[in-house]
Amino acid sequence: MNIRKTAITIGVLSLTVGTGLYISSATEKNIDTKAEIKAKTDSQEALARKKVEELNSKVASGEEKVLSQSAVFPDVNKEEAFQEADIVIKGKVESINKEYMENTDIPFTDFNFNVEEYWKSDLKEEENNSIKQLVVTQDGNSELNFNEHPLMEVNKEYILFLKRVLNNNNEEKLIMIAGPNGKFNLNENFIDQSIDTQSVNGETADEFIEDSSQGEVNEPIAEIITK
Amino acid sequence: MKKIVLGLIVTTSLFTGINSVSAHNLPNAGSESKGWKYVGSHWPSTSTKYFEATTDTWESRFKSGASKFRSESGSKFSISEVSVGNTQNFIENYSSSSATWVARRTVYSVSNDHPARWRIQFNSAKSANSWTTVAAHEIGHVFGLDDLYEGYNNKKLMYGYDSGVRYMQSSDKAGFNYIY
Repeated sequence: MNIRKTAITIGVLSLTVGTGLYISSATEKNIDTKAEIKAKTDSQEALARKKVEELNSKVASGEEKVLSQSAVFPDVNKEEAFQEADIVIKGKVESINKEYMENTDIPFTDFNFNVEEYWKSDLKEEENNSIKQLVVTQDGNSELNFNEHPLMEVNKEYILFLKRVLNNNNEEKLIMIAGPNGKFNLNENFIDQSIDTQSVNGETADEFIEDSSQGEVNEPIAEIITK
Repeated sequence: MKKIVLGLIVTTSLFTGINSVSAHNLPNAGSESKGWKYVGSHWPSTSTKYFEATTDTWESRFKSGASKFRSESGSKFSISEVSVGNTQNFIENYSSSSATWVARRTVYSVSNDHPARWRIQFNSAKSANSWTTVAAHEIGHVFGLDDLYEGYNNKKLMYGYDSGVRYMQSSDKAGFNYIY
């Protein structure tokens, strides 16, 4: 009888210890698997970063060329553009200040823009009357531009809706609100867009800006008198 | 003799078929009024691969766009993720506050209308009305369709502005049918 009891006790104990050992090993295995997955993911990310650097360096060295690009721009109408803008101006491109790429192949051009009229401004009142030229940044450059957002041309007149941002080098830039939606070509003081998404072609500059401000502004807040 | 002739016919037709796929130049076609335009280059086949060089958030946004594109095209196209080393196409996000675009598609080294590789880049400094639609739209460029800008096209997948959720329509499909 005692022998039987002892045998049962040993059996139960063995089963308990065995189950415990199994659970413990399975848990350890699970932890190992998680660690393995994390390590694998980290190494995949590092490989991806390395590959992107390698491909970018081919472009930077000229070994490989970007042949075309296209982009989706925010859908912003003229009223939203006026609302969002820090500065709304009418004026003329004097010259190209500089062309450059960010992160290998993100193209930009900085233009020297001669202001004729300020319609909205975050500058001080005296600055609106004295700052005759602003540096305006546009997406694209002579190497790589966007079909839907052609680069501004020297000596041509535009109405611009501009916003101040800090770029990745911590430099302040004045960019167009929503790219092509913040730049309007003028031809003898009439709006003349090659892609007229808002049906504004033929409006005078004053009418157009007044409509954009929803009637709030009906004349420039400052005009630059050029001698 | 009959067998030899038949064999020659089959072999010739096979090679002709292969050539028409590998050298697939297309004239410019489509227009705003047709609701689709050929962008001038297209991926050589209806199947493409990419690796991801981005965070889970952007990867998930892209995958959602790829899934939308695939299902709305009736599974005509395949866009699949592979590990680095198996392709040179990739998706990434980059934060550029001075760039005004929300997403960009770039192609490199075109031969016979066929790019050697493509990249889709999301601008994480910006917000979009529908990242899923933006991603599906960029895939549309990879497969050869250009942007549309006329207001009457603003519900189409290939409308060039981020106007919110849009779906592939019969005109978008007509464009893809022209290419493939």
